[in-house]
Amino acid sequence: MDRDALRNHGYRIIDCHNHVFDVSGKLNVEKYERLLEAACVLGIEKVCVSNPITGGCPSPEEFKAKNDVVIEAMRRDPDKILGYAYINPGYAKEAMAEMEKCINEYGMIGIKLYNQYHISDPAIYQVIEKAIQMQALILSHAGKAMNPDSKRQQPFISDGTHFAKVARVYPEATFIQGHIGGGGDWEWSIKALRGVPNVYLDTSGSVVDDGMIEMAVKELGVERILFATDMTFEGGVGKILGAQLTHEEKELIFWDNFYSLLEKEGKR
Amino acid sequence: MIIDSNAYIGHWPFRPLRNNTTQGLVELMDSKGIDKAVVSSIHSIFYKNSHAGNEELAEDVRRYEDRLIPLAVLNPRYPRWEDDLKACVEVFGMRGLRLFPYYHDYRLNDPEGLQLIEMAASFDLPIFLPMRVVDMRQRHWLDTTENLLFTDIVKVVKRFEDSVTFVIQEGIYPTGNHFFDENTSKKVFYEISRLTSVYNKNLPQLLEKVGTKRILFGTGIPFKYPEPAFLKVALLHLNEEENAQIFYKNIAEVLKL
Repeated sequence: MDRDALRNHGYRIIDCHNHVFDVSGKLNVEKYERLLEAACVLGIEKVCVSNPITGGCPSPEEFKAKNDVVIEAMRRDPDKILGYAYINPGYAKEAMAEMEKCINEYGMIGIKLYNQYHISDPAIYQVIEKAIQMQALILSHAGKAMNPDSKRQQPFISDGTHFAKVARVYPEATFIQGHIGGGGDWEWSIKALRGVPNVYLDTSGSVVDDGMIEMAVKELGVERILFATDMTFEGGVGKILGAQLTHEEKELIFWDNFYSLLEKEGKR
Repeated sequence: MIIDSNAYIGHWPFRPLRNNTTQGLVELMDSKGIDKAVVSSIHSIFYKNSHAGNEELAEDVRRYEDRLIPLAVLNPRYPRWEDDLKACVEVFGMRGLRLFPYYHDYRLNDPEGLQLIEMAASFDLPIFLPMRVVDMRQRHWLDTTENLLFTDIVKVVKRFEDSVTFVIQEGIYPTGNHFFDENTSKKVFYEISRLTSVYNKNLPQLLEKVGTKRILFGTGIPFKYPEPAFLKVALLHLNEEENAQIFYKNIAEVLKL
């Protein structure tokens, strides 16, 4: 294997699922700089980030503060960083106001949901309808957790069946199911997404199981697969480079598919 | 020269694998530029009598003895494993032992585990300890619910001091642990398949603690794509000698190749 060719792969790359973090209410600059450095050495031009709260039921004040950190990153590197607004849809009114602010005023590309609700829960329909109205992408944390600890810790994590259900209710919405390599049963989630063309699948996560990317392409079509790392940079890039796909298919995954989505939603 | 220290042969009961025969694996290695691979039988993990998997592996690798280096897998709670270990070394010429306590229902520090390690030591066999085979979050409902704990590894490493060579695999090693500051045996080697060179940078951190002479290249084929492992090493920007250590010299030393 030509190891330099791996590093200098020549693809244009957008990472559609990544994160920034805060410390004392401000952007954690040390982690942020590591993020930019990692993206740079792997040839990733643009990184889409959010700053979710991964447990409990965050208040509007809490999720607004998280988004302020994303805004800080977007201001620092407007050519590299795109943002998602993290919201807790349980506070629908405040969440929708935050969407207005983050998307209309600050140019974020969509919303990030975490595990506070299943994505198919009618309790969050108002927020989804707002996202449709605003042409905002809906990226959500996801996974079919199979181990007792994860099941206990994340009772409302969404898997492919939840995405398929809500996508059929809202065919005009654009959903991105997060990190197919995020550790859950990826075969389950890929199969569950058959026949729901408005759910896209991002490739991120630490799992680099052989055959995972090819199965996603085979079952869903290459146009629905979006590149991401979710902070696993070598694994993220390496599993696409290693997949038995054509150069053109890899171009679609690395860049074209997500870029087209941004164009469609008017977020380019 | 590249030697992959983390490879397997056989069927995994919970999902299909590609390139999981000896021929398939060697073809995959050819396509990725991997000269040799250290392999053990997946069947040995699941057969009640693990040794039947060793026997299959010994037969299967015969055609590729210049490419595939077989390791024994044994369960010290199964009768006459002592005979099996002897056969693996003396008949099959296996150069190491790979253990899966979380599949074979024992702990490394149990009397059975310690006895097995002691006998391996008497043959001067290195012991490979995969901390897991698959990510627990995606386990099949019949699969194990346990991984190998680093604390268990630390106990046996301390107990056997510098008398046994251990190869820890599929781990994210807690380099902040005092183990790495005071008690790290020089006969402990670390395989890289779950480490990262950028962002979390746990591979550079490990290098800082133990140096390049105790790091082993490993991919996890045929379970995993091998490209991430190559990228990790490339991004370390090491010199030629350091790369050679990670890619083959260190594992050659472990296995006395």
